[in-house]
Amino acid sequence: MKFTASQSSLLAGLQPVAGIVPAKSPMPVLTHLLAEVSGNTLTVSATDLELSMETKVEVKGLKDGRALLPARKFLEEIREFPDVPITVEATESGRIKLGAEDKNYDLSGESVQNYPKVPSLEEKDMLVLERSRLRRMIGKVLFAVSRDELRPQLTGVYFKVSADEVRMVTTDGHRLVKIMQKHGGYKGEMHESIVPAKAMSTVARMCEREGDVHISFTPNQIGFRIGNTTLITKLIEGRYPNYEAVIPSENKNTLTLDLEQFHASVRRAAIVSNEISRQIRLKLRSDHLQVTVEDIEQGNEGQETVPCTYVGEPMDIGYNAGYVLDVLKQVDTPEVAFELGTPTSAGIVKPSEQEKDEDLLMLIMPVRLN
Amino acid sequence: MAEIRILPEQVVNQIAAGEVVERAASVLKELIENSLDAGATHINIVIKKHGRDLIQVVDDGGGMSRGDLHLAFERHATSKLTRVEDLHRIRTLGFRGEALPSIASVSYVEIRSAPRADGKATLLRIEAGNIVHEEPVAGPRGTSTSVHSLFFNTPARARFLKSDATELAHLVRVFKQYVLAYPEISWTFVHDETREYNLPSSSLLIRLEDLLGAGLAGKVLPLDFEAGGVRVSGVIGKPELARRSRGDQYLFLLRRPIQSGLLHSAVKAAMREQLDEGSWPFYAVFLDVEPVEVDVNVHPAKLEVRFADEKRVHAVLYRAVRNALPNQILDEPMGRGVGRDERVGFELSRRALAAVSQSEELRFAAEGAHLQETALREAREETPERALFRPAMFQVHGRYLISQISSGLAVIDQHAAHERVLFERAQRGFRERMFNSQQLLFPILLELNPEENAIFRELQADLAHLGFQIREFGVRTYSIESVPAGLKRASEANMVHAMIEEYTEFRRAEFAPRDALAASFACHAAIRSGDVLTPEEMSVLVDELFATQFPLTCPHGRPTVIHIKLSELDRRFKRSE
Repeated sequence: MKFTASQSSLLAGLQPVAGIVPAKSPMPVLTHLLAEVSGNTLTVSATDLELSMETKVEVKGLKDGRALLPARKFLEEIREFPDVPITVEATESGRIKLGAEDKNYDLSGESVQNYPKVPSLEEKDMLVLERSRLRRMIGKVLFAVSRDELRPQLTGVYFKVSADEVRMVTTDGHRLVKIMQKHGGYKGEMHESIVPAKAMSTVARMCEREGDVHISFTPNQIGFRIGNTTLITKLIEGRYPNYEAVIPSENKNTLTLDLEQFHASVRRAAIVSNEISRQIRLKLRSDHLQVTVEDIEQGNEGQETVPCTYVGEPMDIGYNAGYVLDVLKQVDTPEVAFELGTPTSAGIVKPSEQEKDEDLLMLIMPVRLN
Repeated sequence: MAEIRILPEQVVNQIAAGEVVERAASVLKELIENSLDAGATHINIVIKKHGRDLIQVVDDGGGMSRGDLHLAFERHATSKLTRVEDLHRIRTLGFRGEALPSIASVSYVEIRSAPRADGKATLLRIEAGNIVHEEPVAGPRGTSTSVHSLFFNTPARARFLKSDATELAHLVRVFKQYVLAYPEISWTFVHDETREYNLPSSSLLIRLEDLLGAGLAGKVLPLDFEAGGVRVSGVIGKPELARRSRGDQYLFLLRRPIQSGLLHSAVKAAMREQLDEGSWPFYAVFLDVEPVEVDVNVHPAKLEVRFADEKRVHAVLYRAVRNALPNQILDEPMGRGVGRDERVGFELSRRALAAVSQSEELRFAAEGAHLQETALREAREETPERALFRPAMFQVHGRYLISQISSGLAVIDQHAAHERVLFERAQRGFRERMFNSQQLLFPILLELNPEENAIFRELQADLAHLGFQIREFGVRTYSIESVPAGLKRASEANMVHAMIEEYTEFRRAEFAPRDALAASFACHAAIRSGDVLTPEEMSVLVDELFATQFPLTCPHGRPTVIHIKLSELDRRFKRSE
């Protein structure tokens, strides 16, 4: 295998793929990039066995073939080269030579036979979305993903595509986010998947520039293609919990607040909250909201009053301040709206106004106050 | 069918002798205690053939009349206790009333005693427990007891005696203990016609020099401390007196020699900066507490005592030794906590002291109390220069936290440390209902087998104290509707189930029920090996660890912190300075 390509195009092509290469792995071969030259196309791929990524770069092909490139060293080396044409060659003995002008480096490689098969995906039942839309959705849901390995379904993002909308849900059992987005039209079948969070955050990074993203489904894989780059991930098996059932429909107490003001209040209260429970208390009265905090262990306390519009029963409700801050961060409107039931039941948090073609709803479970 | 018979008195005595009289040294100990109780000012001891032939103790104490002498050889006849309540207020040494008959049942005893200085004494000879001879004789005030041919009638026991050298060493050890405890008394010790010791009445320091060598007084530091009803006096040796082998550690409670691993650990912990690993400090420590605070009725040999409030005694002894040591650089891992308000630190020590009296806590956890106090002292010493050196903390292998401390490195096991924190939080939770419940969106189903169910029933109320709200859902099936707030890293799904299993284990290890629950909660709620911590989380964890009462061990008794001294690193890198 041998090719020549400019430093900049090589770097741009390799960098995203190298992002999923594990720094360390029980299988050292996985710390490499698989490179394949066919004609004037260089295909670079990487996999951590769950997640794989592939991209194509236009090069000047000199000799077809496949080789493994030590991902970190190779990329760092390329990065330090000036933007000149660089020639890369894999020798018979498995060494990787890269050079330009009078600079020549010779890296040790791995035998390409050892590399696992990188999956490919047939593009049928394909949904086309605007990258910025997808990125926005992922950005709104990732915070509520669970880290509990014993409930693997909750460690992923529930992703559902149907005829007129795409939907994502995440929950860790303490809070939940549901976001729906209308789309231009999708002709395929309805698909429900649980996508690992790592894949979703990688997709969000891939979606940085303008353009479309093509999403395709199989029963146990999902693929995202952006231009020449494709990400394929295994899905998390199992059933996602019945999230619709826990979204209350009769929360009659409504609270509307200035987002910035409330956010700042909670941030201040959070600082003196107990480091473990992070607990704050919202005292809801008809004309105002009092945020209070008390950390008995450290002897810290505080309270402040936040103007609000509250229609409902006066009540005191406890929350983990971190959870409140997390949901407030997802709100982009000047005001935030809460719909509350009782001090021990799920509260709904929404932006005061939904974006066009979008519906965002968050749930937050309170802390029962003793 | 065998007939059930009441054992003859003598057999009872022999059985008891097995408990009280293990070896010649135990006989000596009992006889000395009798002499002390009789108010002797001179005690002379004669040993022949390492105690096999003769153990004789002669005193000038109160002595016994003929009637008292007879009574003394009846089991549990003792002049020292007349009511059960007296057992709780023991100031005299040989209260069990078992000693003389027990000794007499396994030897030939000759005892001569005179209650007054009128020259009239009584002589008794007892063989294997039976009085075989009695006569009025002339003799000075006091008692002389001679024990011949110990274990002549219990060959099995006799065979248990170790080598002559060992038996003599034990005799001398007992002698040393009492002469240190009673320096105001004159003592002599003669073995096979050689006068080994001749100790005139004196003070503790002079007695130490007489006994252990001239110049010793300059190498010890006096102890003088009192807190919480515990008074500590005596001396501890400067580090130069520390030895590689044990031997010169003397611990007295109400002037009674005792053994206590726990109290020894308090002295060692207090001196840890001065001592090398594996070396034994010298000390002669006297503890005085109200007799009601002590339970000495533990072992007939009375070496082991049980304190009503062990941790308090441990804490006071630690402080006493700490106070006696010259000012020193103290070092504890420096988390954010060292910069904390001093008031909080005092608050914590006070709280710790108060809490130690809640002595359901675990014995082994008592090791190394009072670290917060030294962290506090460090905080006081914090200067801008020091702050510059305040180190970062590193997490390695997702398992250990490493921090620089002034004398080397501290390595903290993150799981064990968090267990300790949660264990003590849970214990407090039972008392103070401080755990709030994080409500769950999706209740967790808990299905139990019958055994688990029975345990769960026992625990349900206490689980609620911790923040678990659990509702009955079906037959041995429950729905967990909330979990303790703030446990984001724990695996909620099977936590209660795992806790029930673990609880059984801790109960088997004889934890009190709530401690067992607290410990199993801590084990399953704690961060695990492999959890990556942010710098903020590390520093919170270390702060919380050193705010606990017993930061050095997890509830299982494993260490939470390992201290690697700079001197050890230097040695291993073969640096000469």
